Amino acid sequence: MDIVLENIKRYPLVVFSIIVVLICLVFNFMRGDVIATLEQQESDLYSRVRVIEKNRINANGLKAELEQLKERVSSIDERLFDPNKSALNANFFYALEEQVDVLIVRVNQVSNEDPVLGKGGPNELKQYGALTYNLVIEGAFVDLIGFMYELHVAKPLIRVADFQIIEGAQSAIPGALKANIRLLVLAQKQ
Amino acid sequence: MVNRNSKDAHPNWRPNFCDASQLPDIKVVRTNFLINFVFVTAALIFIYFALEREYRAYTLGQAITNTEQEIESAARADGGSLKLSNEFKDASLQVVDIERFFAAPLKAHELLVEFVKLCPEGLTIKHLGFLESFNKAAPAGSKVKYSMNLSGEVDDPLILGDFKSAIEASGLLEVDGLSPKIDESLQGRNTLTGIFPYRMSILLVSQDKAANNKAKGG
Repeated sequence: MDIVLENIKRYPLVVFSIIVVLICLVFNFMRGDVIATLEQQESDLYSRVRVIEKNRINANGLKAELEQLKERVSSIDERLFDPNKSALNANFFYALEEQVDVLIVRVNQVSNEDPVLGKGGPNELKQYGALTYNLVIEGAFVDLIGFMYELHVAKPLIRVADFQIIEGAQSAIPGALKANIRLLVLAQKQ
Repeated sequence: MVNRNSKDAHPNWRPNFCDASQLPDIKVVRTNFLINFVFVTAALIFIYFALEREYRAYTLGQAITNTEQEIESAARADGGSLKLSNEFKDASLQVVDIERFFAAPLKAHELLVEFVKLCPEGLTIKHLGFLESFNKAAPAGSKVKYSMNLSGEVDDPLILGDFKSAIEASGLLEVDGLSPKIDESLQGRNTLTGIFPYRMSILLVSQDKAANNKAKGG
């Protein structure tokens, strides 16, 4: 004990240094992971800043584009068939007789959904529905093509899926061809 | 016999009364300063690392505060951007649906017009059909099949061959990676008129499949 006290008296600077080192070690033990925590926090914040910056760049001009898109979508919505207005929908096809010289013999709405556009189909529609119609029309070949063109450019969105054109079928119009057409019309989602 | 090396063999016969602390330091090379130097240096190194870490923590803290302020000021604009982006995404789903709705390789009226243009003289079409069919069991990407069937009359069997070649050469049915696979058949000649009834079926297959079939065939 005397030797220790003697050495303490003899080397006060050493004793002081040892105390300082011990304080530093305790300090290090208490605050050793503070840098790692702060670096992690900083890294997270920088990631967030990068995301915000990316969002800002992506949103450049987005408002104008969204306006345009909304206009187009609303113009599409105006062109949709209403599935609850069967008579009005069928009348649309009969009204085409006035534009093209064809005789519309039959318009049948098919109750089953189209397998391609329906649920589980490869082109399943999520936002809209599709109505399927079977049409039987008669007319000259040129008029049949004209009728299909009118369907293509009509206000409602229509696509001819199948057609069969047959010559020699009994018809009210002499020499006319008969066409069976299966067409799909974009409609409001039911 | 007493061991000379043993400590107890010869106890001090005269006590040592020297007081080491009072005696003069007669060391030729002084070493006390070395011990002090080593310990003080170690202490300074520890202090340096502790201060360095604290300074770094301080600067990181400053940077974090600044970044948080930056984020806070940009958060409102960012919220607006995200809202716009979500609205755009929702609206674009409807456009995607339109694309799906019109996803077909051919338009009926265009197909008919182009097809009739290819018809050679001496060939009449009495029946022309286009069919879109769905095969649930087919692999993805080829679940929807497109086919055409024709029948009519032809004056000369060679004309039917020419018609087939014309369809193949026109590229009319080579759309969206599809290629026509055409099979034609002649039926017995009408002995009264001398004309040949024919049938033709066209299957639109993917061009990869068509190339494989060609390679296998020859």
